Amino acid sequence: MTITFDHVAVRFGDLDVLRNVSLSLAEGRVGVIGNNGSGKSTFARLINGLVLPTSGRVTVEDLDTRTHGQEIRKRVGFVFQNPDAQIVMPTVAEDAAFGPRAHGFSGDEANARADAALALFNLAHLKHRAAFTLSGGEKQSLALAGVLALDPAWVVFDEPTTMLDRNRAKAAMTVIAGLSQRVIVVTHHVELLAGFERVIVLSNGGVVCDDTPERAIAYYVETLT
Amino acid sequence: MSVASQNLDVKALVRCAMFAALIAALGLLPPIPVPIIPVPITAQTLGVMLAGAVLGPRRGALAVIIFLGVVLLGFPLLSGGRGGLGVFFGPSAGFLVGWVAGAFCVGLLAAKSLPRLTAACLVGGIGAVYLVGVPWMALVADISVAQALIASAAFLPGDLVKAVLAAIAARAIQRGYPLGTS
Amino acid sequence: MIAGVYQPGNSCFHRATPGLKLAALAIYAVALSVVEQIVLLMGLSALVLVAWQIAGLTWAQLSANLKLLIWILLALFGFQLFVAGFWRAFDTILTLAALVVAAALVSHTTRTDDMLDTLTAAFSPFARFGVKPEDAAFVLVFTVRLVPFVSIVGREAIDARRARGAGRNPVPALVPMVIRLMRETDALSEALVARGFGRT
Repeated sequence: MTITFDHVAVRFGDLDVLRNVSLSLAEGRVGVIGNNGSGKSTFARLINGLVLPTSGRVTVEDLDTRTHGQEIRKRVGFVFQNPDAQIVMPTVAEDAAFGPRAHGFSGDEANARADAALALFNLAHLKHRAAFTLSGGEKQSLALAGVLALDPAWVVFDEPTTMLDRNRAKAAMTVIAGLSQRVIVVTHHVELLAGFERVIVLSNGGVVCDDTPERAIAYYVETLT
Repeated sequence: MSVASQNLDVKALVRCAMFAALIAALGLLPPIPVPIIPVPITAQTLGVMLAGAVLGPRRGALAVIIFLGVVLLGFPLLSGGRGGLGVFFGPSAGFLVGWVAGAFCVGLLAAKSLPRLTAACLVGGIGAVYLVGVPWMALVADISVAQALIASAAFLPGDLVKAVLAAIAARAIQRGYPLGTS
Repeated sequence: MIAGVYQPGNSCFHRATPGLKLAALAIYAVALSVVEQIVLLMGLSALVLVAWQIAGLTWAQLSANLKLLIWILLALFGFQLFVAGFWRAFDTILTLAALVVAAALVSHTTRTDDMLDTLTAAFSPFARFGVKPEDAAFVLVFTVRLVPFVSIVGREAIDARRARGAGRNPVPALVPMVIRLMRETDALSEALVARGFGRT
């Protein structure tokens, strides 16, 4: 159960977004921090093959993102910053079932998975509601339910709290802390990473610190902010 | 197929769906009554012309096909709250089918200049649409093409105004989102 | 979510499969167009009204369907009256009205889901041209989800212009609206791929 970056570089045109990153992730709770433009969002998207490395390779349980993207995306759920962008179907139930259906589960199986995931977040009573009428917090829950309906081994969160007020951010972090999946959180809110096992600091497309949360956060706060 | 090029295909498809939804949303706006012009104008054909101008000929036409597919399913998204099969059996159904050709022609003729865009919207948004709609009406309603053309003339002033507005909007979009057709 | 034109019910029309209803509609359309005798035509037209009643649909719904058509029908009637006489004119608009009502009957008694499944099945011969029927079906449902989103973006674009001193005119607001919609497609397509769409 490992995610491995092997000499990974990403270049968009003339821009080096990530350069020569090598590491492997096996912990249950990993944080990735860095300023805007540090490459952390690209780092997150490399894990499930939304972005492919320009050179080097990324593997998830020995599957290469270049050749096994679809299988990897079944194992690695991805929660986007803006839940509105993630909701793709008209009603709550249909949206929760979208991932399982897209990965080839039968209609009944997909619906059962969706129901279970919705129940987990107390959304079952909103099943037949139009997804766009949900409150911000409910949309966030639906986005996560849709990901968990696939029962992934990992869940990657891209800036989960940037659009939330302090209370909602706290609630979101409680939910994340309670997940049984392995979790990778990309953020610039360092206080969210207390209790994590490992924190990676990115700057200018490279890993500048990879340590316990206390030490990594201290490094980030001192040198990069 | 590589993931990168697959992403591009999905993105193109999402853009077409987005424009189909835009055409639908424009139909939810109340028709605008304009002085002198006998029939109120609806904003929906603006979306059709913009689809061609922004997405290009093939994707613009696809956006219109997706929109018509949603209407066919029974969603009342045509201006005036019309939807379902009945829409495609009326005498003016040819104009809806003509939108596909219209978006295609606008996309084909569009270029990055206001005169070219205006010409594209006039030829595609009016010429191509009427070329399908008028004979269709003549056939369905059992009248001559000339008579069908006279019956459609009430819409012509509004369509002329919309073609010019669509061209102006399309030019502004090109300037504000230069990668629009990438 | 936007409601379809489907009217819940339990008549034989509601229970019939969409394919059967579409086939019946096609036969009815052909019958209407080949029948010449005015008496037969009136009988055929009356048939659709009987069907309307059996399906449990109301006269208000019937007039709602015809209301949007009435002006163009009157215009056509005028033309025909002038060039071909009363009976030809009557024939033309009766045929058109019956046809539109029959088609509306099919839509009023068919769930959008069932219509979608039927269209998907009808689409399957195109699979060999690289269009996957289930993808085509998905795009239609996805579009329905996008409509309220587009409306919200549109309202925000109008509000943003008003906040900065512009009027309420929706046409100039189209420009920032389309630009934002096109930018949103990047995030949406990324999310679709992340959630498993587009398998090959």
